[in-house]
Amino acid sequence: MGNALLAELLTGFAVGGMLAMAGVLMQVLLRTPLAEPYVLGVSGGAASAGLVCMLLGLGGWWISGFALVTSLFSLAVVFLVGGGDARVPRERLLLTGVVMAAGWSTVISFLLALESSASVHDMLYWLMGDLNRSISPWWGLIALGLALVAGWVMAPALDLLVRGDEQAAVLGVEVHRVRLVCYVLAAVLTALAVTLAGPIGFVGLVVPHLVRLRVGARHRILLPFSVLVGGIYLTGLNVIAGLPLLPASIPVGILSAIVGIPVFLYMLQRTRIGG
Amino acid sequence: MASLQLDQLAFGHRGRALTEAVTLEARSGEFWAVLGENGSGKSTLMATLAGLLPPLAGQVAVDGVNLGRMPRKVLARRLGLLLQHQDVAFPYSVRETVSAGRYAHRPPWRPLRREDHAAVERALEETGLLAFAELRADQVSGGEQRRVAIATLLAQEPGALLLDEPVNHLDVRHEVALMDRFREYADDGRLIMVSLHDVNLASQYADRLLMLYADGTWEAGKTAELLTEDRLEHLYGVPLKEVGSEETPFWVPLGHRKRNRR
Repeated sequence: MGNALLAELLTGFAVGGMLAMAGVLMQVLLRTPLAEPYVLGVSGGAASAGLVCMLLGLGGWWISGFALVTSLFSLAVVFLVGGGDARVPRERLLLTGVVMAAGWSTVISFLLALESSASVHDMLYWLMGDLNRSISPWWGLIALGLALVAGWVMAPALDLLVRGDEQAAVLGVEVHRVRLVCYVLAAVLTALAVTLAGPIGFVGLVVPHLVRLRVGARHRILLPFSVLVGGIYLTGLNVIAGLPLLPASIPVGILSAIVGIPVFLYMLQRTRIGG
Repeated sequence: MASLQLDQLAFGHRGRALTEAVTLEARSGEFWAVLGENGSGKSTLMATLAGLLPPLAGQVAVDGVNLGRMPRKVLARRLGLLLQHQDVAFPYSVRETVSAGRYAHRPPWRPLRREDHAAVERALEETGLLAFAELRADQVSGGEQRRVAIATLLAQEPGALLLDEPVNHLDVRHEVALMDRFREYADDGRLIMVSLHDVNLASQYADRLLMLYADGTWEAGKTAELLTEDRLEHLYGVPLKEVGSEETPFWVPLGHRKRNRR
């Protein structure tokens, strides 16, 4: 009992930290604070992969590996269609991601329709974001730690990259190399988070936004604080979700969406069109 | 201190060269102005010289080293470029933004050293931004954002400064202060290359000109020799008349009515 609770807390922390960091990295890559794994459809890709593995009876590393492939694919589509160029309007990037997310959710509906057994219920819970199924959190925590070290070293380059590829390049950043590392890290973090807890949305949006308000935009400070706050935030949401207020237990992903959607709309409303 | 060698350089987008191949050498201590109509390739040339665009043919060398073989950081210590457009989507302060100019001067894990801070403070002071240093760079006015970009370049302290339309959005006081400063930089032995649409700024500050004509031809040389009525008409497609004194020549475009009276 004690071990299960500890595992759930640690999973919550790891997943929250990974989603927050993936959010920060995607925001650098797409140069908008509105980018986030769930909104861009990257989580949806990973979740579809997870479902396919579950239907085929494959577990563990199969899910992570396949989820990584679809995450990389989703993010690549957002870049290639949305364009990473500074002159491309950010709305196009976001819309590309939103369309990807819509696409993955039709895939998910179809996969669920294929399965008729009682396991559909479990799958639905997982798809809403659920920390209760707790697999071992240690791999997630180790990956998060390594990613954070890499991000911390790259932090000054990230500060330049958000000002556009050309500006970063003339100031001395090897743009393609740094972008590639960011891209892979963001996809790996998303895939692992989804494997551990299903697709939980908006953590990567809400947390970096709040942290920036407090400590500013410099990535050397923003990254570790986002991981820390993201971990605490999701663990906290999970505790609230577990409170016996309602007859049924609410998946933590639902709570995260209840908080995240108004924040997203607020931020979108404050964004200058074409800016 | 840095020099730039353009050897049979063809530049442009998607394989289409904007001018005939350019060969010239710009040495440290020289102040170059690049003149041409809109779309004549001034910005494209600047981007090519800074290694942002690959040359279509020929090569660019900085201090004799081919640009394509130089790591970005090494290049950034020798050559800086002021871009026309800046992107600010995140809440950095003016000082944090300017500090980015020091990126190439240290390994990424090391914090700013004393000399880095000193360079940032100097850059803020020279651009009149000290009073704005703690404000958010995305919330200051357009002209101030322009000065933030210029301050970033000054903090970078490259041997060669390429400036793409540096005085756009600036009021006269900052325009003059900035051009004066660039002139001093050239006198101190740096190489300055500025793209301008104002021929009078060029005639006042530059000692060398590169003229990119609309028909794809080009000329480079000393300002005093190249600034003639014939060449300027070729350059801009309208006649310009020299007025003012021998010491401070001034060029005014002749409008339709004046042209007919001539």
